[in-house]
Amino acid sequence: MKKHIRFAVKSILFVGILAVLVNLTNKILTPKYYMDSLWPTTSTYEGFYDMEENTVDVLFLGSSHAASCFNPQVMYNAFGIQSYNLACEHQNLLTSYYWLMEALRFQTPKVVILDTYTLFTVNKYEPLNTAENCTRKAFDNMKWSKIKWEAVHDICNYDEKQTLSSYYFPNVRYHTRWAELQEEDFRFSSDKKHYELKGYTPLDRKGGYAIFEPFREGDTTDCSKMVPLMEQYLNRIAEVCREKNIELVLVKTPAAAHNISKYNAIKKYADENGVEYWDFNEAKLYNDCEIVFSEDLHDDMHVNIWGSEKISVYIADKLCREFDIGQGKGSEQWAQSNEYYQDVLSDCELKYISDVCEYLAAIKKDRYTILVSVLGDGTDFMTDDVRTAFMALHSDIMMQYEQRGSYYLVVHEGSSHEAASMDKLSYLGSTCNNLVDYEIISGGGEKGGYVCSIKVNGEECATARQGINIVVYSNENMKVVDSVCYNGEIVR
Amino acid sequence: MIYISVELYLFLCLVLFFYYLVPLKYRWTMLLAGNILFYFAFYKTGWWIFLGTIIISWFITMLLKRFSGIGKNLILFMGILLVVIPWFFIKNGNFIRQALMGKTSVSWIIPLGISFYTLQIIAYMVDVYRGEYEPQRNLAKYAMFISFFPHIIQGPIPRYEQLMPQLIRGNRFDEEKAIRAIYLIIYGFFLKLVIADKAAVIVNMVFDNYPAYSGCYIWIASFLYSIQLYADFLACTTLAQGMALLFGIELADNFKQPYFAESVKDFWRRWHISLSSWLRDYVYIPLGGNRKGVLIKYLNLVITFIISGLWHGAGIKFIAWGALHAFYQIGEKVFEKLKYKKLSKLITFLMINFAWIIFRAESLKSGLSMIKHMFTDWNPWILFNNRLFTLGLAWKEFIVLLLAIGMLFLIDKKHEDGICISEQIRKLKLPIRWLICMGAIIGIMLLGTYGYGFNAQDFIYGGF
Repeated sequence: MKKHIRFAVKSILFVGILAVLVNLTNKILTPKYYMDSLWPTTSTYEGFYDMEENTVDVLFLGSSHAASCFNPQVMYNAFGIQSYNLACEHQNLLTSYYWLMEALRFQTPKVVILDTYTLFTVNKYEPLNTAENCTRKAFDNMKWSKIKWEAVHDICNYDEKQTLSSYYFPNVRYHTRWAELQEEDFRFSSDKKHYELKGYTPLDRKGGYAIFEPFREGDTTDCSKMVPLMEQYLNRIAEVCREKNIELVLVKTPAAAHNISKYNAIKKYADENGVEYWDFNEAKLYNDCEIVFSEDLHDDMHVNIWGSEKISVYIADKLCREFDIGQGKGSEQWAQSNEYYQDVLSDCELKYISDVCEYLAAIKKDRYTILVSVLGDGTDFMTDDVRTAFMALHSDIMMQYEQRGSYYLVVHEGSSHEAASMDKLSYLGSTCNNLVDYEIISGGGEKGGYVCSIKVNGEECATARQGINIVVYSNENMKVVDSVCYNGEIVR
Repeated sequence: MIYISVELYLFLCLVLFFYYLVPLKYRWTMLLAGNILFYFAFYKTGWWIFLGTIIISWFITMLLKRFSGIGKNLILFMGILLVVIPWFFIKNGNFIRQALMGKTSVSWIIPLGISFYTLQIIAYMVDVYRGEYEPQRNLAKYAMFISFFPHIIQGPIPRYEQLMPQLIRGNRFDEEKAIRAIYLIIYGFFLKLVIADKAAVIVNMVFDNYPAYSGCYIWIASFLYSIQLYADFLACTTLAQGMALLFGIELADNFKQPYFAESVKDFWRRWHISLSSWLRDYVYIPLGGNRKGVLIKYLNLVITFIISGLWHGAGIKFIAWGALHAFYQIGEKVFEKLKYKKLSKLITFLMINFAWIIFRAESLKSGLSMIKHMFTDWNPWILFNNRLFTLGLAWKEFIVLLLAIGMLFLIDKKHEDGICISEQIRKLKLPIRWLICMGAIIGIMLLGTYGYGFNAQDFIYGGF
């Protein structure tokens, strides 16, 4: 008997250690999307669990349209509204429903704002209307509870490609990633600190249609057909909101894919179910928000950070007036993240600075690592003002830089490394506590050859045009913020 | 895929729990309950054919005891006929309809493991007929023997006298056996997921699109198929052995390093041993074996291997595959003196490899065409210009496959030299043993071919 007990203890210990190892392996294998990803879904959901309980008054749900549009920091700054954006890439209504249910375990929101993009056909070949990998992204970060259990069973019922075991054991889904694991797969514990944007995704391009025209209510009576499964889950969301006494607001952010027929269908649903519907593609709201499609949209579907500020302020005002939300005593959770948000905003604005001296002044911040390499002749356009601006950026020898010479400069946390020579120059270094390595090569053309390269973590980042190539790397977000070349003017 | 499903191992834990919970004397009832539960939890289809065959065969063996002479012969003949008929029509029905009657194929109800339990029952009836042992009077115990779930799908085909005593007596929990069982199960998963299913990616690509591939592509795909088939079948046998061993039951080995064989005859002593010995004992020897002269011996050999081919599947290609193995062995006998000892393993492997091409190909014609293109098309550059990595496995996966095959070779080499790897591991200190086991489990978890995006491969012999 004693022998059997010893064997049982050893077996339990073995299984225990194995379980820890399997769990750790699965954690490494599961893809992570933190602040260095375009859509930082992992930050969105892990950050939500970090919020103090019962502090969120407004919840946003929906696809990437919503993730890039609803800006909790702006809403807090403008009207003290405490909100969180739970939207993510291709979030279908099933995902929205279960994330709402999950959120209600920890928060007691007064208003839920739901973007309606996935109510209509997004991908007709997908049983859940949106790509499997996006649904996975949303649920991989949900904590295990009865709600997740129900969610994955529902998903697997509707989508035969997916299996329950792949949710219980993520290696079933992700084990092939062993051959492509990246640094971020191992550094998840340090990336976790970046939850400041409360689920909001900042986009910085100004790339919307130049000829976009908002539609007007009554232009046509056509009604688009909703995807039945999505409508079913919309009903469930509406029902939960009714039960919990939460105001449900349906919205549609500005997007070229939206039209009056879809508007009519949602409006009809909203009227029949007694919920609000705010459509920013309809002329009234579009004009009230002063949206300029070509300026305020990242592409034809997503608003950029400037568009999001306009819409968020508008919504915050409406919430304040119509639902009496905000203007409370405030919360540290939102107040302390404003500085980070302002940094993100200035990162985005950096891309639209056209004056080189202004640009060099703007990047003179400790949170950036600045990498400079000259290709060809850099002296033609090197005015005294530009040389002075470089000097201010910790360059000591820029003044001596000669025609057709090679030159590189690295500025990092207030110190700099630089060299100028007629020969080819190269420099290897690292930043972010040696986690990120970079390599600079400069050839001015005389003896050093005609060459320029700025590689960060092995990836070429320089525009490699003739002139002074500058790469700005954010130490905080661990990604390249901007890459330009100055050759009399700033080009990207 | 049942043998590598999470559900099966949860089921196994449940049956094990109840098996060791009840008194020794009644433990066989838990096995019977487990067998029934297994069938209905994982398969269901055709249970009534399976049950009917068990009852009929049991009844036949009861009658055999009471009769003698021509009556006994007639009863045995009737018994074999009644057991073989369902197998024959289920396995060959569509071939007969399509090839001989020109009709379309139909969907037959296929009981689980019909090819395996048919042979198991025939062996049992013949042994009872020969008086080698008394028939089992208890129908429930007999049903438990026939339907023992670890081997029902893909063997090994058990012999009554070897397996039945272990099933009935009830076994006490044995730690040493339990550890061995875990090793076997881990090894089975390694063979299936890291070798067989990974090799299958390339094999399927080439064999399913063979007009697009020629020369070295076919050489590589055929070598990989030989390895895939071995790893796949060895995996299911190893998993079956591991599962049975958790109940304290030892199943017979089904392989003995077959690709180390020095002749085709030797190969069949090492490959699917339970089938080879069945064919020897219940077909070849009853036909007269080698006792009636050289010509009759060769004829018996051809008949035996054609039956082996037919057992593997309906169609001309399986008959041709079986006949080819018979002719190989006749050739080996005729040209015995010409045999070059040092290259015998390589020559044997190549001969078997060609036979496997016919076995795997869509038809005999396409198999022969592939063999022809192995020699007529010359494209060795594909070994150097990354074209190999367009066959479905990226270079890292390809390297993993090669390393895993290397590991299989080394393990087989050790076994050939009489060294048992699991015994060697068991002699190591506990932390090292655990490190090896955990490393193997995590390694299989990472490097195996399974899950989303992969077309999971059924065990090949499960289809026979």
